Amino acid sequence: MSDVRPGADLVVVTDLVKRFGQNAAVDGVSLTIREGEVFGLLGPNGAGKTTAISMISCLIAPTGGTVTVGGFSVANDASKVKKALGIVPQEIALYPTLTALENLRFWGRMYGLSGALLEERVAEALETAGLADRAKERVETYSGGMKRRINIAAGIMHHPRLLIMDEPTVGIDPQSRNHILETVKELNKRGMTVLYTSHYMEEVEFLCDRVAIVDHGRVIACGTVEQLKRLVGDENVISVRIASIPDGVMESLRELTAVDSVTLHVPLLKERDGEPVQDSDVSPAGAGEGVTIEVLSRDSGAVIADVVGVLGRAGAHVLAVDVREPNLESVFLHLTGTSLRD
Amino acid sequence: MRWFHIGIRDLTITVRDKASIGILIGMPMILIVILSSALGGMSANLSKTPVAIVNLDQGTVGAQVTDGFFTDGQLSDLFLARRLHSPEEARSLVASGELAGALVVPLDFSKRLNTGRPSVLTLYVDPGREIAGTVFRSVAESLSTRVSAASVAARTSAYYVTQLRLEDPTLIGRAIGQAVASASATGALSAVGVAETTAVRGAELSYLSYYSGGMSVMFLMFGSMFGAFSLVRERDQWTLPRMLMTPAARTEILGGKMAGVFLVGAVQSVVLYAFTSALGVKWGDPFALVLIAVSTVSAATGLAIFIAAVAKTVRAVSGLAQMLIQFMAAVGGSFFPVAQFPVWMQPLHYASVNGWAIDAVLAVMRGGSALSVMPNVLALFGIAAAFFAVGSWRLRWE
Repeated sequence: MSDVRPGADLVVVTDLVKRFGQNAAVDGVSLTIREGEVFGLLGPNGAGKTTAISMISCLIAPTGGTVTVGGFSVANDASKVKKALGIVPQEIALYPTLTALENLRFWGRMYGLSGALLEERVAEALETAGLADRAKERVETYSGGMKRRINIAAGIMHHPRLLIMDEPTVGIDPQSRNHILETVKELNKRGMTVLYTSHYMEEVEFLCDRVAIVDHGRVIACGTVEQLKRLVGDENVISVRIASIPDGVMESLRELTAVDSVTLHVPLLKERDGEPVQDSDVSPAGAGEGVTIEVLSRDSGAVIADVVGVLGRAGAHVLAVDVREPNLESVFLHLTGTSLRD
Repeated sequence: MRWFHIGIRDLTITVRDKASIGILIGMPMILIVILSSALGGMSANLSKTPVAIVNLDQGTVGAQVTDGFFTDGQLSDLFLARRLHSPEEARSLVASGELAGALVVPLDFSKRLNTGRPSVLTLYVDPGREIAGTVFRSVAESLSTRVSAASVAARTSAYYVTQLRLEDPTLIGRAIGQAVASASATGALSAVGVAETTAVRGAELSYLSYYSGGMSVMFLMFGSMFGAFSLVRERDQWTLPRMLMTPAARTEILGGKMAGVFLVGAVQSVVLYAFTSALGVKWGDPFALVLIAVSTVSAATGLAIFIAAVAKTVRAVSGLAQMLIQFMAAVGGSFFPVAQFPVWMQPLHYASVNGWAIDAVLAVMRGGSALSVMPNVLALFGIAAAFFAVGSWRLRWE
């Protein structure tokens, strides 16, 4: 990672196609991954993410299109490309009857490490995985989360320029998942570029600087998480629950800059006079558990302090404040009409 | 050196797997002891001794001499005799080691004996089968002595009856006895001689020796099956694709997988060699054995690549490998000596790795040299190359 040039194009994928018979698993994907970023490939199972990264990592040959990594063509300079890559496959690609130490030594040797450097990198990888104290135990005795962590450790020992992680948190406990996500953040801080595929939008949102949303072998949207969310609509919802509503406060809020609308919500009263009612129909005076004001804004970060200030000055007792943003799930839903987990 | 690390890793995985060790090393040890003990004890020689009888005589004496090999209980227990019509064929089979010996009764055997002229039974013996050859030789000499004595008796009684007109059976009997004793004492009881021709073979083999060779080869083949398992399993558990995404070239990876099978085979060979040697097996020229072991393990390794290429799943590997290995073991002579197969079936053993390997091992055990088994070694390398070429061409990596 010595020749890292943050911001420079590290991976350039152009019109990438992979067909299996009549079926196009990847159908004209183009994208660029910049040095130093965490780039996410988000899409449901079967979207073509694994096929795409299999071509980027020289495992399978494309039917069409080109891929370069660090300026080297996957088709013509595969050995140079492979040296720059670290791979963490979706499967636990380890030898279960070997210890973690033996597995890491083996994979280190596959990347050309040997001698003192190999031992140093193995120790470093074990430390990163948080499993140094269990290094001499067979991998088959590990929990799913521990296996996943060693699976990652095996891919980072040679300090790759680009770490490709394919669904690295599938089927593990929350604690191991958090450990893995923090590890990815830490590796990225050290300068490692990461290509991260997942169908968990929370992970992608948490980790990735930029995201390509993939469906049916195509990139249907690409950009930062913020840019993608704006495809749905760029207004955030600032939700404030207060004990009671002072007079004139609604008008004061509507006068704030960058506020598009203000609405008042009270807890739903299921019946009034024997008839079902909507909360908007209910008088604030009828609210016994506080009321909620929702403020729509294109710049919620700037507005939220003003909203709370207006309410405070009006004498309202603020119980809770929440800002709801559009998320990638809603982006995917918006673009494809289906859920990520469909 | 990546191939070396892959090979060592595969060896480590195999050695660490108790079930694999049991099958690859424990089972052949047990089978060698059981089979050789069951078939007449570990020191017993391969029985019955295969011999051929060629009776060219058109009279009755030749038939009387040779029929005993098929009708006499004691001789039938000792010899697995078959009739041939050509002395050349008999000689050739002895020379090839297929027969331990052959007895040829000449064309005018009865006529010469009946007219008092000496005749000669021709005996071909494989000097490599010392004990069997000695027994066969002594039986032939005993037969010739009996026939000579009968000839002397017949001529003596004819003389007394026709020339001296004696009719007292007691006197005639006494006269025959004296004539035979006299002929025997003066060495003149040679109406029938035995002319012995030697053939080409080396030391005689016991069942223990035979099954040491046969079982070792068969379980080397099973070792190759584990290699095929390993390739397919690595493909399934994604360690093979992961290796492909490292800077390791496909040739290094395949070379490493082959090295793994090879190392497992080498360990098997050394352990089984030590075990059987401790039981008293004389394996012969170590250099020749190393050549045979290397070529056999190469063929087994090529077979492993071939099976992994043809079979898509571990289950398919198991089915195909067992079918192929057991067929080759059966026709190749791992279970029974090829010489005991029907004649039409015997050429089939050249269709198996086991056949070429066992032939070579037995030849070395009988005193053959590295040079003498070179055709087998080359055939095994040829089989290895063919399996490897087809296997590596058809192998699915991802």
